[in-house]
Amino acid sequence: MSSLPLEGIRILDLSMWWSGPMCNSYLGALGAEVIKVESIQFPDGFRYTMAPPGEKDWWELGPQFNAANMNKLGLTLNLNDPEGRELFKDLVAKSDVVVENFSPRVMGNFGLTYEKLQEVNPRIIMVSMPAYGSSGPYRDMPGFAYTFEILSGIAQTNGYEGENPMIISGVGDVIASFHCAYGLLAALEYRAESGKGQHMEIAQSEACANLVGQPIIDASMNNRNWERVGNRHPTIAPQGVYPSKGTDRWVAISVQNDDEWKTFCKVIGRPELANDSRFHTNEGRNQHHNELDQLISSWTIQLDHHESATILQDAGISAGPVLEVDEMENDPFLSGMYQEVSRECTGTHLFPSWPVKFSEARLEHHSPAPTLGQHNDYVLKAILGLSDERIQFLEQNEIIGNQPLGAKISK
Amino acid sequence: MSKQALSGLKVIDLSWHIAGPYCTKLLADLGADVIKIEQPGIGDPSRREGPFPNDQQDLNASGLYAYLNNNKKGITLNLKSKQGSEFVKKLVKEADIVVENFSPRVMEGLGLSYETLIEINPRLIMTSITNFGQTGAFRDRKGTEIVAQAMGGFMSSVGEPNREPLRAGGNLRLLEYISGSFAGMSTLAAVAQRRKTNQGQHVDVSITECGLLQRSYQTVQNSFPTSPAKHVRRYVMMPSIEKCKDGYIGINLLTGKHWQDFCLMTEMYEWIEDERFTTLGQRLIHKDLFRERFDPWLMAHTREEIIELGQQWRVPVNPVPTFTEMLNFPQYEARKFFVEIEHPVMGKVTQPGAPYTMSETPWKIQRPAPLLGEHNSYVYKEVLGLDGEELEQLQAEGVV
Repeated sequence: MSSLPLEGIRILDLSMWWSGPMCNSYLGALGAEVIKVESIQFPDGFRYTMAPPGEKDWWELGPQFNAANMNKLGLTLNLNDPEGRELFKDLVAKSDVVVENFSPRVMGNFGLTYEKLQEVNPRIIMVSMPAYGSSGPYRDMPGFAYTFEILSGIAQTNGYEGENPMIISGVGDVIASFHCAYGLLAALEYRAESGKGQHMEIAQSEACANLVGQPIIDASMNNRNWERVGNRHPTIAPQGVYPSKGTDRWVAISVQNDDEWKTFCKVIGRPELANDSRFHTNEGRNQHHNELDQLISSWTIQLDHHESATILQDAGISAGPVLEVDEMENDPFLSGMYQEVSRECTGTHLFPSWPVKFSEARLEHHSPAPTLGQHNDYVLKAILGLSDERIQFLEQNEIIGNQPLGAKISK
Repeated sequence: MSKQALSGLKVIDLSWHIAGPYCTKLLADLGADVIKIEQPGIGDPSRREGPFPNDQQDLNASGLYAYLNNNKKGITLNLKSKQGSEFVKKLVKEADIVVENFSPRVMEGLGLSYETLIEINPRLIMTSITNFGQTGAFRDRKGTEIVAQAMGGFMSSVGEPNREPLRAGGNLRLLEYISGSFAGMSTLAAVAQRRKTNQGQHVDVSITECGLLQRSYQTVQNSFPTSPAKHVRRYVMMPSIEKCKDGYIGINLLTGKHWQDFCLMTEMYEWIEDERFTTLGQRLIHKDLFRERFDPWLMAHTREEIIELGQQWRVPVNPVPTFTEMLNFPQYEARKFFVEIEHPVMGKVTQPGAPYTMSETPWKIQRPAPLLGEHNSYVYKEVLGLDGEELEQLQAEGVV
């Protein structure tokens, strides 16, 4: 894109961990000026995740924080201090959007409810991302991806056949993040049309539950509960993940209809199976799936996972290697998704960019994650017009800063 | 009637299955005017999938279809017929957005490539969702949910160590939904862009690449030499979701203090400071020993008992509701999250409601999903200006 779609939009990002930050990193990539607001009293907890305690500036070294906060500016402001709150309101007056994912009582405690922000800026869009919503008995319960996946029913569908439900390492944050970005862009579109801001609330658990319409309807209509089915599918058989040559290497295969089955038998060197009447229909293949799994494994185990997938694809059958983390960056297909991003204190790393091209140009990151308070000067001087003396005063009073207070006491 | 956020946006929806229809559901539920085009006589394959009331198959009574296609108008049109692409072009002329999730060459084959369509309407945004993207050496590969999850690396974190990796979300097709929501937000990014340039764009979303966003931090983690933990292949916790006497329960130990309290709760007193168990990594190494003791404890307690014990000992314990239990789960009930939609064939259907509340422009369901070809008469006559005879002729020819 020659000019970016959200240029001219300013977003104050109070959100922490993954869901809110990922959403705003996307909006930043689209050209919004995203100001990530932390404080030296209460930096984003993601800064400490997988970071090496005791290293110099260790709160800057966490890989997950670095990956979740690209395309943003960094500001510190102590919102527990009346002056910090006044400065925040001054910024709200000059911004378009405020995003927060605190528990529901926090913004109220700061005196920064939507009503208060609206007094400062009637066109403001405020987005709140509570875990379970600002009402109901779960309102104040702690929540994160693990609990969202459990309470939304997603975990009920995930697991080996007949075994316990399992969680899916953080997918709840991604789902909440995408729905947040979608709703926020819709609110911006409405404001462009009508001039009106609004308050949007996304309960992260409910965004996740939006993906289980099918089993919910089965439950409400037929009183049936979906359970775990492993990798199998009622109308695609055989389907599975099969062992390949090497240690812990796997290939995913889906045979989608009877014709593909006949081809598949030839490709794996067992043409006689195509004549076996037990396997003529999808239903039959599903009934004898265990036996088929053994036959298929004895073929896949002889080949590298890329090799078997390519042979099957060349014959017109859906298949793909299960890529592990150590292969992904060098994978010929995914290489287009990786982008080098450099940051002064962490060096150059490959990061996934965004899975979309706009008129053939991939949406990419344009700046690394900010260090704590990195853009205090720019925000406070260029946007708010504060003097050097005032900034010094704020530093002395720990309303702004560049080092977490906690870093002084922790290991 | 209050306005909705996307009122006035006109969408032509050629999509099927889940990823495309979920994208247009998000648009329709915020007020966009969506006309969904389906194959005559058959319709979107999700019509054949169900769930159906009492398991009686009926193209007009599929729960999946009903959920994904609320608020849309539905017409039938044979896109492969000569008139088919002509009608699409007429509709496109007045539209803002086209959404499709065919394989990459299909639109071109139908004479409906993006290049053709922007000549008719330069402001048109076309969103294409495919397994591997519109370009590149992999674009013609065949994919299913499980293959996309495998090739994006999503799958390799799901499952137990030393067993086969698992497709996340079983038969939900979770990655299709996630890609549909990503396509929705990217479509709105193009709408924002059009306000500046007055030009449409082709929005090309890859499902497999969406899967990679699930794993972004693990690849990055291994490239940070100072990070104290390297990525391990499968992501498991222990304890996690556990089977107890009368169902499943979630137990999640985030801190060392939680482990101590967990030992008190389960009366494993002498393990409080036993280094074989105090951290997750150690517990996984001594899994058999841990399970040998923990499993009988679980089977001796009900969900309610464990929740109560969790509160007493300050151990994070979560109920793990089944889908039928979710319908009466106190948090969803208090917020009226599930809504009942009256459907002409299925009757009242309970389903997820608003994933977000908006103070000025509420999410809402204005009409149930269309029966197959329900809006043929309206669209062909009122919108496209055909008379009754012409429409009958098209029906006789199998075009509609």
